[in-house]
Amino acid sequence: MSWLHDVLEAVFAVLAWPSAIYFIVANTSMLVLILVASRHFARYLRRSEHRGEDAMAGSPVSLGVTVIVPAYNEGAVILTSVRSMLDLRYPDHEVIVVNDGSADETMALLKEEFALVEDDRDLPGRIPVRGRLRGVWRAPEGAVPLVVVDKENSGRSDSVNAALDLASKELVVMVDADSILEPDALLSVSKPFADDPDRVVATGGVVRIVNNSRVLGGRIVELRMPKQLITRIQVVEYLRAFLLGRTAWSDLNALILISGAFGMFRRDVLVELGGLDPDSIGEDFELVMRIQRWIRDGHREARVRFVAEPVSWTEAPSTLKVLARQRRRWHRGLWEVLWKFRGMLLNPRYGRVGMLALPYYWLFELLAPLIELVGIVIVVLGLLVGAVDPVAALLLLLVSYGYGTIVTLAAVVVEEASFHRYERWRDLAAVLWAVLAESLGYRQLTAIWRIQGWWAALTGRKQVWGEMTRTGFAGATASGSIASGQAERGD
Amino acid sequence: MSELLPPELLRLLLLAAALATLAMLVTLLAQRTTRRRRERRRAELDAIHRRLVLESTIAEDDELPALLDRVRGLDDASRAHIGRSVFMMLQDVTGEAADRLRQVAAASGLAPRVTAAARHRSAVRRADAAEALGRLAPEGALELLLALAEDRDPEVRTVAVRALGEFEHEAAVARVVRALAEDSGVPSTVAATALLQQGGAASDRVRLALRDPDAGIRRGAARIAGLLQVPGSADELVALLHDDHESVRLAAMRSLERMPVREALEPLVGIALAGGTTGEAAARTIASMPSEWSAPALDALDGAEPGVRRAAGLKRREAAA
Repeated sequence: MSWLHDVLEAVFAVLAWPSAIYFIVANTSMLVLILVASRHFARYLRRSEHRGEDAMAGSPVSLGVTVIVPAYNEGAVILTSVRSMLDLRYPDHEVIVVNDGSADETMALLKEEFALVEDDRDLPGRIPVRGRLRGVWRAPEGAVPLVVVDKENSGRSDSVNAALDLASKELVVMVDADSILEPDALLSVSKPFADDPDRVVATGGVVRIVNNSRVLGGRIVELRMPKQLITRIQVVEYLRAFLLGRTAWSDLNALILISGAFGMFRRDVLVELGGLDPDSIGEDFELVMRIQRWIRDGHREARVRFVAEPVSWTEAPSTLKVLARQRRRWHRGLWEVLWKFRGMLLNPRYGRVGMLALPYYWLFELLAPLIELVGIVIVVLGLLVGAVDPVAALLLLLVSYGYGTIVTLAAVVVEEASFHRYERWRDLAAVLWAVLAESLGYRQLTAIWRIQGWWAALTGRKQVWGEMTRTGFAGATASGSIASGQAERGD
Repeated sequence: MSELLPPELLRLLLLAAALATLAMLVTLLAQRTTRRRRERRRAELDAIHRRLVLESTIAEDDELPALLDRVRGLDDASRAHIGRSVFMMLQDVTGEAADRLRQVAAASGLAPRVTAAARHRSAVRRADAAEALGRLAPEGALELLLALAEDRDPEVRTVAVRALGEFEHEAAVARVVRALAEDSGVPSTVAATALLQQGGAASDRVRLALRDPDAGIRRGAARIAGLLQVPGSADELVALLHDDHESVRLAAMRSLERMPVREALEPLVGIALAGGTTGEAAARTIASMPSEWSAPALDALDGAEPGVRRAAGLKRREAAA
């Protein structure tokens, strides 16, 4: 085995320092993003007494909002979900549910509950829709502002496009049927549009994990950390990457990803851009990238903003199988979108998006699992055959996982200082345990799944969504027993 | 690699990592403990003073002075807590109860603090002061708010304009109308909402603003003329359907939905037939008018694009057939 020893020694000699530097830069970049976000939160919270959201809550001059809810086999949650969407505190909003060819009782439940009548008005046809429309229904005149589109199954993006075509308000917000919006969510996520109506074209709200929390009537009445360790780790991941990371990118005016589970857009811009791309796996990411390109190509003074306070709660995968499928899909989507928009990479014409955000996503999101796994294999094999110095291995461990854990801990400190959603001491302990546990197997597993997703994209394998079952929120604890599917669309 | 990394440096790195971790854990615990202690203290003060504040809110005129004296006699921490509680309550309370609460706030000594904060060098503090001046309306609040509405910081101007919505004085209305201007730095929705709050007192100014040379002012005025049912504004709104700025035309259409004018139908049909977002808005406005007026106009939209037909409430051709 001396050849293996020699090879590993040579490889390690070449790659050790670049790898160490890579992890130092990756973790430091995340730390910088967290610091930028913490500065943003400090400014935001200092203004809590004069933000004036309540003044706008009853104002009839607020921009109207269409809430789009694509639904596929959502019988367990659809009524609670639609009622809570209709009850959101906002002066002018309508809800459009798209039944995407559900095989369950989703459509029947909606028809019965809201006494829907057929809407035989003309269809605009501004955006091409692939799935055949079976019919459009609406609540009787003077009842609730609800429209239901019944169509053949053609996927989430196509369903959103169908609703977008019928939307009548100035703003549209896309929400998953299994998501729970906080009562003021629309007020907060639309505030950037009200503050800067000529420039803001899209906003994203933060998505957090609802598993194990008590939910009544579509509202969270008691927030708790999830029970399963893998879901707890996802809470920490969401906190670091979604809440803090996106806040920082927004502050840097380089936000390129808004969660599809809770994103608000100017309708005219979406119509001009042709809606969501039904062929894209990472349709939310793809849409925001298209918007960013549209802004820069047209030399438009437009902005994409992230809002940290309004929260959309979603169930996260609680089994390894579902999590694996989700991460494969996410990474596949990441690769496809980054590749599609590769012309923007390091292109000064696209400003901070091209020069800062995209290089970050290529280097520290797309390539990270590859570099991490290669590093692990070389170090472990090298240690086994004695080709790697244990001190050097320890150093690599320190700069990758140790530093990464400290960065995540910093994210938890910022959350505690700003929004501190988890108030129970035991939840704080669970968060801290998750911070530590993330590096003890979870990160490595997700790295494998991400590589698999990337490989599937490169080899052109078909994306499979899988079956989905849902327990529903009504009067119970969100159990997180989703088998697959919509929970994977948390981002 | 280890050759380039002396063991001492590695030890130092490990020590630094351990210290950083420890520091963050201590920070976490300190934050949580401090916050809990503060919340407990607030809850205690709430329990002690809630009854006094509520009694003041519903007290008869002759009972109120004694209750206010009790507030004045409290220690600094209690008065500060009452002032803050009242400030928060005023967000949701209106009418006579709100007037009482304002008197409680005055007795708690909040007004001088707010007045002083209006001149603070921090823009955030000035904006907070503007918000409080609007809610508490202490003596001299209008003058201070008018001054804050000219602040160099747009955030302070925005809050001040919003707060001016509480005042029906001519000067307040004039300042809010000016805040509708495109370069005012104040979001138009904030200024428009403030004008709506001023209600009838703003009507004359709004009617005049429909002819303002600034497109932002015309747009804002056009948007709220219908909501306020401003007398004599109908002809101006019809004229604004031909405005150079699309946003002004759209705002005029929204108002005409609430103030139907027969003369608006002809230009609206023309706009609707041109299609697009504006065409859809025009169709919606036509559909909102009394059916005896709108029927011929809706017939004229039969050949319009589908989006316009939908906005007008016209059936799909196959459904109609």
